[in-house]
Amino acid sequence: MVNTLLEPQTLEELADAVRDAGRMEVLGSGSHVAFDVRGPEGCAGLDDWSVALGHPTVLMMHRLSGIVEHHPEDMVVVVRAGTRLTDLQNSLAERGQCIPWASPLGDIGTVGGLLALGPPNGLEARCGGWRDWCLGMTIVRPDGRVARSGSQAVKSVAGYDVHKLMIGARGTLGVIAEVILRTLPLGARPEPTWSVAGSLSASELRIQRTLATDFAALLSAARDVAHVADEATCTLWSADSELPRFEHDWVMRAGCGPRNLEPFDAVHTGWMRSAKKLLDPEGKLNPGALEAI
Amino acid sequence: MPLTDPDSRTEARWARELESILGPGQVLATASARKAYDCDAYTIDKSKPSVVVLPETTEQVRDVVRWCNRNQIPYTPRGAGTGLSGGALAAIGGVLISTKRMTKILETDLPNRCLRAQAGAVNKRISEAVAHAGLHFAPDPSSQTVSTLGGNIAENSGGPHTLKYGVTVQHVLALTMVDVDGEIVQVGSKVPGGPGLDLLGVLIGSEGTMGVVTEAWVRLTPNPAKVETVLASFATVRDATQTVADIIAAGTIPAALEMMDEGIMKAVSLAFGLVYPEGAKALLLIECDGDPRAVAGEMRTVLDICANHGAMDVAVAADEAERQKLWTARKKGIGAMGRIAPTIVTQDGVIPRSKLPEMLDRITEVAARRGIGIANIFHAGDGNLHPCMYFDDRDPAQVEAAVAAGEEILEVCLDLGGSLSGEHGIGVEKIGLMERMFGREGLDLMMDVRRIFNDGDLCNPCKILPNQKGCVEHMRRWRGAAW
Repeated sequence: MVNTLLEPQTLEELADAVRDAGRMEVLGSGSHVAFDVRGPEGCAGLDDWSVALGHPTVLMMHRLSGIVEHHPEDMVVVVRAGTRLTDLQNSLAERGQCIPWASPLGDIGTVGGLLALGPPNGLEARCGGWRDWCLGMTIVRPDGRVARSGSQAVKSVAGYDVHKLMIGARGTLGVIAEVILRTLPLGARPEPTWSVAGSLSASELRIQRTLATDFAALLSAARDVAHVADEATCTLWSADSELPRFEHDWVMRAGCGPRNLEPFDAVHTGWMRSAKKLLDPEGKLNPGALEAI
Repeated sequence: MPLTDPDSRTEARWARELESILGPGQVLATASARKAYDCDAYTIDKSKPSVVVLPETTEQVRDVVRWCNRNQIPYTPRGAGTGLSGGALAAIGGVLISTKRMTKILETDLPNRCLRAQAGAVNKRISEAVAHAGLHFAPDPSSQTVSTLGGNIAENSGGPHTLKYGVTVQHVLALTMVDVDGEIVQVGSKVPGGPGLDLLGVLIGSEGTMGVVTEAWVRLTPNPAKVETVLASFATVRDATQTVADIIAAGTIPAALEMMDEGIMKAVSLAFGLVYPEGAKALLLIECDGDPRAVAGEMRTVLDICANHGAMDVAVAADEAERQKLWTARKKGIGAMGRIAPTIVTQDGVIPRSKLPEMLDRITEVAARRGIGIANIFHAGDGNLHPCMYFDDRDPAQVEAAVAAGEEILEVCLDLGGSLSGEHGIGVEKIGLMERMFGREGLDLMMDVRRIFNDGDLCNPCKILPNQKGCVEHMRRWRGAAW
């Protein structure tokens, strides 16, 4: 199925590869492909990305990995996007620091992949999430241009926060090449306060967040389903099942297919289409993913 | 977009038309009113709007934007005018949309800890409105007694307590805005996060260049159970900056960690009669808050580190009155500088925190070489500097020296891996340095992102990125005094 597998090891190789390739799938390590909004029902399989996807070129980011700079005294790390989160956490731990991330699935995935998906953090109420930690990015645009956004300063309002637009964009607007992240001392990392009932698997995960006033009703409906519940952010990770929906809530669902779609209103859909048209005019990156939304 | 001022007959006609859309008393077009709105708190550059409008509702803002679109007239939103980079300067022949009559708090949802207010609501009023429930709105820019929610959103404002609690973007859940087509749109949701693009994250901090924000849902934060405030004085600036670096490196995140140097100390002594130890060259204001046991632990760490760096005097506030007194130098420091010189310009660079000692030395060197006075007051905990340049703007040579010194300081910030702005924005003031920070490719990407929301040249034109039509003429107008 995969005709061409691109595995760049440097920023230059990545820029050349993206410029020269046509339509392509961009993957970190492939672990979150299971959250795809396209494809046939039930295609999910963590190691099965080549079957899950129907595109001839796959850009795999896992070799563009490693820490570029770590400034423990500033609590800032610059890391290549293909770095596995476990590797980043291990390196940071050697200097007594960490990324305060907790997921019921553990530290799976790459830094770039996690940013592209933007899942909620189990420590979010106290430590924030990817959007709060990400201070800047190096982004490879579909035509191979390399653009930088943000800086190593922990607080900056210079220009537009373009990197925020890449978080949760599922790799459709640019390829995240390097990321500047805040770190936290290990000693300051709290333990998750979530409650755990049963065990969850990545292929059947469903994440829902509601208003505080609706969370008790959601929990009550989920009592017979395996789940992890974080009351501090009103977030429920559960085995896939039909749970009630509430005003203002949202759901992210594992697996492939349109059942994972959240509907957006016309204005948002228009802005998202416009973003895709302006940032990836030839529709090269992860074709279909944003159009589906 | 016009590139010259319209004649007075045209301006009078615009005022009449806008008054027929809005209502009597909601349009200001006299010479004195226009002069009152000719700049924000960045006073070096000035530009009179052709007309100032005072809408009261989102629908009225929409009607004004539609009128501007029909007549191809540029418009600029403005809150309280406390912005420090000229983001609210009117375009040539432009309409200024002031939110000063949009001050209502519209809805409070205490169980879900959020509140909806109009863009002109004053920051402090939001916290006051929910104080009875033990909640507050966390962003606390020093201008918070006058600056507005809409202005805070435009600049992604910070403040002393954002070190621990985060800046405006972390506290805004959803916006109502009038887009550049004159449509009323909602962005975001009372439940944060979720699938889809983070449009809210891009719109907040876009300095009014992507539409006019008219209302917002904001997050409310519980008041801390315990607050401890320390004011420590040091014999050298380096002792103070090293204390800051060590507190951060120890993993302690105080609620606020602010520094003031000798220049500020002199000014507040003159203004408020405050007395500091003989020979003190720097003050650190440190506040820890939260769970009482955690606060006690943080305070031990903080006091130990202060002692290690030879703190001369360490005052811990015993009650709220004492806390307010300790905060005086920080909150009123820039105002007090008015006693020292006729003109004050506050800069706003950011550097990685460990570079503070080096940076302060460089600022002193720049001030000496350029022959102007610079006092320092800043958010040390996040590396956000506010060098406060004082001079006499009646002397063109001093204005030129101040502008040059400001740019030189920002270039040092970039050399040290930092940013052009921590909370004041780019506006018109820092446009010239944007390419140095982001490169051509970075600016091209930003321009493409602007076009998602604003592909025209009427909504607050020529701010942040100067590459729209007519920006050369605008920069000549705006930066006439500064260049």
